[in-house]
Order: sequence, then C-alpha cells, then structure tokens
Amino acid sequence: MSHLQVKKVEDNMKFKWGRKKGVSQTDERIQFYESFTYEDVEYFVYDCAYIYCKGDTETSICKLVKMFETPTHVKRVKVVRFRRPIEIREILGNHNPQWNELFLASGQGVGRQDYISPVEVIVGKCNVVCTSKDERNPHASKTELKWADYFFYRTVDVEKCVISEKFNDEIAGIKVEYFFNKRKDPKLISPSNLKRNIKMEAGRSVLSSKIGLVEKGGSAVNADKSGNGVSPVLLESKRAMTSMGENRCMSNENSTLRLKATINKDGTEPGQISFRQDQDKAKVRSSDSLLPMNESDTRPDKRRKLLLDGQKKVPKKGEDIDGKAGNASDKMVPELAGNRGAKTHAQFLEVTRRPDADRSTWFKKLPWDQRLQTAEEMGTLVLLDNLDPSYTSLEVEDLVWHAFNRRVEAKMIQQGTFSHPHYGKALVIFKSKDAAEAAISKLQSECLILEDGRPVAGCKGTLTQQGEPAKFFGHLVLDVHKCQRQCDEKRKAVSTSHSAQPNTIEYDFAMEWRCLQEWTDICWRLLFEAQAKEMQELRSQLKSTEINELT
Amino acid sequence: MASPSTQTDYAAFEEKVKRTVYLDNLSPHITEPVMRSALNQFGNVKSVHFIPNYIEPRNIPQCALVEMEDLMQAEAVVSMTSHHYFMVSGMPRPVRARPAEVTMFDDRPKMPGRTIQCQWLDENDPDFKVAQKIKGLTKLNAAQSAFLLKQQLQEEESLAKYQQDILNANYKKHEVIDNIMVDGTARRLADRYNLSCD
Repeated sequence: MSHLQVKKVEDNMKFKWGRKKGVSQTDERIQFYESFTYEDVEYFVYDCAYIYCKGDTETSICKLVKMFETPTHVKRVKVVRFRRPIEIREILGNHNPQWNELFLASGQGVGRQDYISPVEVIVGKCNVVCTSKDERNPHASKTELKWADYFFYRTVDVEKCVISEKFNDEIAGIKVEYFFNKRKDPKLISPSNLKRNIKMEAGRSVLSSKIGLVEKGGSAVNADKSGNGVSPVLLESKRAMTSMGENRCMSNENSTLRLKATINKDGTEPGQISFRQDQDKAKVRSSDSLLPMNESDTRPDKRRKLLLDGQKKVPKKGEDIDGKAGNASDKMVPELAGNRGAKTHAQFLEVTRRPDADRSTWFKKLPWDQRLQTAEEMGTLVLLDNLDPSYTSLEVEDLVWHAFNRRVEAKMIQQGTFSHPHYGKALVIFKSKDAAEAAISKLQSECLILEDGRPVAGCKGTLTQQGEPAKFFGHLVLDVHKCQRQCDEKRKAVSTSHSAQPNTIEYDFAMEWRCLQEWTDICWRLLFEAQAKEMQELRSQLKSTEINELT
Repeated sequence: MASPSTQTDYAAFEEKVKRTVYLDNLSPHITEPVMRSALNQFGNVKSVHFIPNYIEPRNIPQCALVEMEDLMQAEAVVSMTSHHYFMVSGMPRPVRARPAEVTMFDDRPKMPGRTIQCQWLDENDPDFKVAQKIKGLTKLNAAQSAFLLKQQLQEEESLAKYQQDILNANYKKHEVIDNIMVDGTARRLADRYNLSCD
C-alpha cells in the first residue's frame, strides 16, 4: 500500500511546463511559458496564488506575472505581491479596510526581487477580484464578487508608503491591464477542464492543508491520488484524526466536510459555475484557512485570523456546512464580534474576558517587582492613567486586549494617601517595545474612551527608584554621644510602640503633627473637589453630544 | 453572568476589606514584625501588606494594609489612633489609621456582574475634542497633585526641623540645669543666698 502510494505521489508532485511563450530578448536560453502545472493544478500567467515562504507567519497572495526557466533549468516565477491590511497597518491611517481587502503593491522596486520557485512555495490558487472603478478595469459581476476570496481596488506604493486608488500604467514592468479583471474568455470555461479540476483539487487540498505542520516529504506521503475522488480524502482525514491532536483532527474533519459539500454542489448545479477559477477557489480557501488553524494552538494571533475566516464562511456557505463546522465557527464568533466592534467605532463595546483568560501557570513567574524593573529597562512598560479607580488588574488586561489586541500583564496601582481618588492608574507590561510604543502613540493621537466618558491616557512607565529607604521627616533623634541615658530610652521607644502621654514635649509635638496632617488633608480635599468639578463640567459636554446623537 | 462562586469570592473579599485598616505616616524603616508587635495589643494581626510605591516620589511615607481578626479589632485600631497619638518606631509623628477601601487592594477580585465598555473615538467624532480636553485636564490635575504633594513634603520637613530645634534647645536647657546640680554651682548659690538646697 505504502509502496503504491509513494509512487503515485511522485507522479503527483511532478511539475510540468505548459505552452511555451517565447524566449528572452536578452538571453535566448531563457524560456518563457504561458502556464505550468504543479500538483495537478494548472497555473496561468496572471493568475493569483497563495504562496508560503519558509519562516513567514502566514501565506501571502501574489499575482504570477512571468514564468520562465533559466539556462540552468531553474524554474522561476516572477510575482507581484498583494499586501494584506495587517502588513501595512502602519501606513493605513484613516483607511479602514475590509477583512478581505488587499492592496496591490506598486511603485518603484516592486517585483525586482520577487522571483519565486514555484515548486517550493506555491500553495494554491487564490481568487482575487479587482473592484477598481478604473476605466481599464472590466467590471466585476456580483457572482464574481461573491465567489472571490479577496478583492482590491487600491494600491500601496511600497517605497513611498502611500495608499492610492490610482493605478499606474505599469506595475513592475507589466501593463496594468493584466492586474485588472480578465476579459471573459470562453475557452477557459470548457467543461472538461472544469471536471478535471474538481477532482484534482479535492485530493490536493488535504495535501496543502498539512503544509503548515508536516514537512514536505511527510505530507507528500499522506496525499492520495487525486483521481480517486472523495473517498480517499475521507480516508485520509480519518487517518489524520487518529494520529494528530484533537485540534488538528477537528480542522481536518471540517475540511473534509467542506470539500464534500462543494463537490456535491458542483456536481448537481454545474450551471452555477461559470469561471475556471471559481471551483478552485472553494477548496483553496479551505486550505488557506487550515494553515492558520493548524497553528492556532501555538500562535495566538493566528487564532484571531482564523475567526475571521470562520465567520466569513458562515453566511456564505451556511447551508453546505455540516453541523460540526458550523459549531466550531459559532463558538468563536462572539469573541470576534467583540474584536471587530472595537475597531469600527460603531458604539461602546463591552469588554469581555479575553479568550485565554485562564493562562497557563506552568511556569512560575518572577515577582512582579522584578518584572516591572526589566520591563522598564526594555521599554515595554506603560502607565495607563485616567482609568476608573475601581477597575481590577484583570479588567485592565481585558481592556487592553480589546482596545489594542495585545496580551499584556497589568496591575492597578493601589490607592493610598497620595494617589488621586478620581484617577485609577495601572502599570501595563507589553510583550515588546514596539507594541508598547504603538499603544502609547495610539492613545495620544486617538481617544480610547470608557463608558463614563474617561479618555484613557498613556505614557511610558517610569518607576520610582528603589533602594535605600528615603528620608522620613518627623522622627526626631537627639545627638547620641551627648546622652547615653536618653539614648537607651529612645532605643526602647523605637523597638516598641506607644501612645504619647499628655504633659510631655512629645505630646505637644505630636499635636503639631496631627494639625499638619489635618491641614494637608483639607488641602487635598479642596484640590480634589475643585478638580472633580472641572472634570464634571467637561464630561457633561461629552454627555450632551452623546445625547444629541441619540435623539 | 456572575456565577455564584465569584459572588461568594467577592463577599469574602469584602469581609476582608472590612477587617482591614489602612495605616499611613509610617516610617520607611518599619518592617512587618514591628507592625505586628505594634498592633497586636489591639487584637490579632492576620497579615501586613506594605503598599509598594511604584510611581510616586521616593520620599513619601510608607503606607500599609493590616488585616485584623475581625471588624471589632479593626475599629479598635482606628479609634485608638484617632484619640491618641500613636507612635511606631519613632517619635513624635503619629501614625494614622482608617478603614481600608476596596481600591487599596491590588489583588481584588472583579465586582460580580460589572461590565466595562470602551470605544475608540476618531478625529471626526464630535466628542473627540472634548475627550482631548479631558486628557489635558487629567494631566493638569496630575501636575497640581504633584505640586501639592511637594508642598506637603516641604511643610513636613520644616515642621520636623522646627521641632528638632526646639528639642535641641530644650535638651540644652535640661543639660544646663543638670550641670548646675552636678558641679556644685547650685549648692554654692544656695549658701550665698542662705537657702536650703536638696
């Protein structure tokens, strides 16, 4: 059995060039091609594909713009990458991209080094639709949009870091028309082509779903002959279930279900599929979402990514998805809703427990004091001001999680004699210096407002120097050498405690101290009252606008 | 939302708050054993927690939360320190005590059923300007507090200095009187004026 499989797999893995297109003008030995077939999927020039480079945290999406073989028989594909919003979040500014929006890289320098080796990095096809209103762009139909994995209508100049809706005539030396939607080409919809692709994809997606966790060789062995249709896929996933952890087993199961569903659909309603890329998309998407899912147990960020994927699938393919897949995504949706709400400025968002509330306690942590010290040295310490004093440390951690999507450790400053009764402060340790600085600058340029109209302020945390106890006024000492006798008495007084008796100088002094204490108390109270009044006035302005908005 | 266990947790915590007293005007040299021995005369001290000073100036007095065995004992501590001048580990600055408050604890549990809401305002939001103003006011208030604290510390320093001077003067006076007795000046004067000197 294994014998057979390996052989079949080798056949599968084969890379085959398609039709020749021509040779390079500068070097005749460089041969250009119009397409290539890899793992039974045919990629044409100007198709979009997922690629996964070793070391990346996620797949990237790119357009294949040139395919050629060098004189030394190295297979190369030149690509122009799309940027995911998260990759360019620094320059997003006021743009608020949708979850499935991409930005086409443009400007100087694009594509100069973007040559990939298809055999190593290509994961699968991706359906990207251009929704630009540019005249040169054939308008995308609703069905196209519905089936698209991603869309784009803006470019990002990678050198100048500018986002623009304008498309230059050429991007990376390729005419811009090729980046827009394709002119409808009847050849591509030929039924035979379609059928073949369905079967191939069914087999292949299992393969690609494992790329994230199994080494290439291992995954190849797992992959089954594509031509056999659905049953080997099921078999595969069953085997995977027994050998892999629970999480992974779940994801594999889902993929199987989805695959089955889409294939059924393709079979019964062929009329729905009008484009060659359409049927690719369904499966490729599932393989795309599987990559993050497999890694979800190790990488927290991935998890959120997955949630997005999960949600997007529910409305789209709701009727297709079996109960299990539905449940899995349902369970995650509330958390997601929270995350998104925080970003969309829609309204107040309720801060719920962040997903990993019960963090692992396997490792004993250093005492908080020491962690604070190191955090200050590393620049990861942030002091949040103007919180509600009644917040607890955990609530602050949740708040930061929802506002910045950062996992942090936080501790409220304990209220004492010298802390402001109206402002709660908290020391927050971020995971990295960049994260801390980003949070501070975001707090300064924007406003994170709490339900009672408090804008949260943030600044770099600086700790009070520790060390020798500072000077404390009010404990008087007589010169020791002058009076041994009194010194003995004093020592007794130091080691014990007592109440001052009337009729002593100590009593008089104590009375003076008490007067000072009362006096400072009054000062503080007056200050706080005045401040509270000012603050109330400002806040009432805030409230009024809110009410105006509502009515 | 609030499960019974969190509610009982919170109730237990509130009980703890009630039997805890907050002490300030403490010398930084005071340690937990000193604190325990000082307050054990009013009941049984269950725990002592010095509130760490992370962001305030270094020279502020120490503060501590002392958990007593029950509410009665806590009240005893508070009433005693308000009626008498209670000295711990030095004189004559008296220690003050007051009932502890929830916000003084760093390990406080979440209030059951309480939810937090937050929202990002962008520049176009009508509230944005007001919110920025509030931020400004927050900073201003912090600066005011810092100034008052500095004043307070100065006051304390000058009072301490003033008292030290008086104490020294007083001590000198006593010493002079003492010396008169010791070196026989008093006796000679008494003889001179025909007075008896015992």
